[in-house]
Parts: sequence; structure tokens; C-alpha cells
Amino acid sequence: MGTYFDVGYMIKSFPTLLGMVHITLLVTIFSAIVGILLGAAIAVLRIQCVPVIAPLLRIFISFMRGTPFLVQLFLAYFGVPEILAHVGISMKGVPPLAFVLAVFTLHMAAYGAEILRSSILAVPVGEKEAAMSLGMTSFQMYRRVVLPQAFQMAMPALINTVIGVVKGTSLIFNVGVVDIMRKAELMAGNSQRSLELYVDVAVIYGILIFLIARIGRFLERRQSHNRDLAELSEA
Amino acid sequence: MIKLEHVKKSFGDQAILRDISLNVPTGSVTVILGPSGSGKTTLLRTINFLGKADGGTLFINDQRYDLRKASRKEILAVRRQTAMVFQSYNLFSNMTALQNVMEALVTVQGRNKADARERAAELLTQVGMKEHADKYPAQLSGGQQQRVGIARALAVNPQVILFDEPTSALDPELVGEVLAVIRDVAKNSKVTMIIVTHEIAFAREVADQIVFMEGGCVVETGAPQDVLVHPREERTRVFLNRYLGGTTLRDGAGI
Repeated sequence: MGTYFDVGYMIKSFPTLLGMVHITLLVTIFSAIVGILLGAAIAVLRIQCVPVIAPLLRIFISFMRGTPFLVQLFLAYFGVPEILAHVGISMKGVPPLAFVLAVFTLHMAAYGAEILRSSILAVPVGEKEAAMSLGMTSFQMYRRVVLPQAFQMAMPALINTVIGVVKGTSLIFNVGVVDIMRKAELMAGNSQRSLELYVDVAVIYGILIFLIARIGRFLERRQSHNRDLAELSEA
Repeated sequence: MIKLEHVKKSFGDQAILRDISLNVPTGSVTVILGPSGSGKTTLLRTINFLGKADGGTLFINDQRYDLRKASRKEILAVRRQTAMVFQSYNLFSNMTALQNVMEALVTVQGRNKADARERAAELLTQVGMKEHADKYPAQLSGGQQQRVGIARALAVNPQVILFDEPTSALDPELVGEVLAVIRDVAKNSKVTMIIVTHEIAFAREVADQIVFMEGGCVVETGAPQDVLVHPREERTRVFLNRYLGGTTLRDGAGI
């Protein structure tokens, strides 16, 4: 022993931990993309007040927002197979990662739906009327006019939620998926040195979130291109 | 031919349109005049199903549409034969001027992009906006936006273009350029137009028919010369007096 904090061990372990980052990336990217698309669909269905479906979606959203990640993970991983077993469906062969992807996607969808709902409502009514007056169907109006503008407005808030999801992935080891966090714990069990490994994990998360924030800023800039120019020309 | 019969609408117990009937021959320009709150804009929006009437019938050529009970399919059919120019322009702010004009051609009519772009460029040239084709609405002045709005309406080759106070939101010095475009379209395109406006001198110049509305009723209909210069109804006279500041339009007087 001797040293309280072994910098050499920290540096040496970093690549090993980084080797598990693909799990974190997979969960984040999958749930961000699928979740945001699903969220957009939920937001539109709620705004259009589709009977039966819209109230159910409201309950879904308040459930996803009202319970913590970990509880949702446990409910999905332990609860859902139990319920399905009663109706004769076995989920034995389903890998834990599938549950994780489902929970994180639904989580992203619930938050994304609320963010997008407010930005969809912020698209000027006149533009929606113009689209309708040209004979567009509702679907065409959303796809061509409303959603592109809504996504642009929602981008900062959506990126924020994605960052929340990245941090949430540090809980997935609880249902038996080995990610960077779980790998650090396993290695600490062998070496009896955990602090070095947790610093590594912190650095990896920090880098990931920094990169996501950069991507977000890039997307915002690219989309608000026209607005910036307009401000310039007015000045 | 566009024909409206017995159009009625009320908000709560306040009647906005009381039994309006109107006949607009193909290729003609009808201008609707009237004080604010007379139901002009509501009538225009009703034709496009942007507001639903409580009753009434719309005829486009010989096709009959129930303004209250039209199905979704019928509503789309009407909207695809009509186009609207809005008071606040309502250009799609996520698209350039050219893309705004192309949009309905590609998305609604399913034309290929190259054709649509060519047609859109032609129309932008017609409204004098060719050099601004790649600008976004936020980079254009109100008058320029409205000219793009007119090109967008022309693009779909509609049976009728509905102008909802196209110059009311504009700075006075920009009104002229938009009126010039509308005048040009009226003269050269032979498209049927219904225009709601407060520009009386302009109305006299372009209209084949003037409709004077007040309190949700049509008070007087006729040729510009008759309605504006020799109004039959007292209410028309009062309105014209107020708008023209005491002067009256005399025969042949240009304003």
C-alpha cells in the first residue's frame, strides 16, 4: 500500500474502462434518437387531442416523470416479466440490455414529448393556417412546417434531457448490464483501489457530456443560421 | 365561378355572418369593403375552411360543398382549388422564399423538384422577388414577404385567390409595391380573386365587382362606379365618407 491515490493505476485503468463505453453510448444514442422521434409523435397526438390515446399518454408521461430511473428499471426488469408470465408469455430469453433500452427510450420520449409539445405550440398559428390553406394534410403540415421549427426551438432543452440520460446510464448495472460503472466496481473488487477508478469514470462521463453539448451547439447553430443572418441584417 | 349561398356564422350569441350570398364570375376581381367587425375576414376564412360556418353552401364551378358538414376529403379538395394571401404574410419561416413557393407544388401536388423550382423562380420573377429567392422570411421586409406570399398563392394555379387584407400590416411606403403586384396579377393572370381591403382607390381600380358589408350582411353589391361613386345605401355613403375624409369619389376622378 503506501499511497492513498495511485495516479499510475488510474492512468493504466483508463483504457480498460473506456473499453466499456460502447454500452453507455449505445443506450444514449438509441434512446435519444428513438425517444425523441417517439416523443414527437406523442406530442402531436396530445396536441391533436386524439380521443382515448391522448389521456393515456398523459398518464404515461406523468408516470415517467414522477418516478426515478432506478425504480423504472426495476419495475421493467423484475415486474414486467412477472406480469407477462401470468398471461403465459415468457421473457426468459430477453437480455437485460433490452429492458434498459426500453426504459431509457420511454424516459426520453416522455420528457421529449413535453418539450416538443410546448415548442410545437409556439410555431406561429398563421404558418399552420397557411399550410392548411394550401391543401396540406395534417401529417404534411407537421412534417414540412411545424416539426422542423419545433425541433429547432426545442434543441437546447432536448440536449439537456439527453445529458440527463447519459448520467442515468450509471444505474444500469443494477439490472446486470456491465457498463463503465459496473466495470469500475468489478476492477475495484480485485485491486482494492476504487477512488482511482471512480475518477476515471467521472472523466469519461465528463468527456461524453462535453461532446454531446458540442453536438447540440452545432445543431443549434446550423438550424438558426437564417435567424442569425436576419439579426445581422437588421443591425 | 365561385358562388356562396346563405352563409351563416356566429360566435356564441353574436352573429358574425347573417345569410351572405355572393357570386364571383370566373376571372373576375371582387373586392369586399366594410368597417372592421363587419365579417369580411370571417367570410374569406369560411371559404377556405379555416373557420367553419354554421351553415351555407359553396360552389366552385359546378361542384357543391356544404360549408358546415363538408368531409375532410371535401375540405382538402376545396383548399387545393383555392389559395390565400394573409394579412400577416404567414410565410414558412423555416424555408427560403423559393422553397416557400415550391412547397405546395412538391408536397401537395407531387410535382418533381426541378419543375417546381423552375415554376417558383418564374413566379418570383413575376412578383419582382427573383434576387431574394434564397433569403429567409426573417430577412425580408413586410412588402417583400407579402409579394412572396402572392407568388406562393399563384403557384398552385388556384380557381380563386383569397386576399385577406394583404396590405393592412404594411408600413405605408410598402403598400404600393404589394398593390402593384396584385394589380399586375389581376390584369395579366386572369385568375379569379376575392380581395378584402381598406384601399378604396385600389378597389375602384381593380375590381369588377364591389361588395359592401356591414354587421355581417351584404349591404350593397355592384360595379365600382355604382357602389363607390353613386352608392344607393346610406350606410355605404357613411362608410365612404369616413374613409375618404369627407371627399367623395367623382366620376373619372383618379386618386
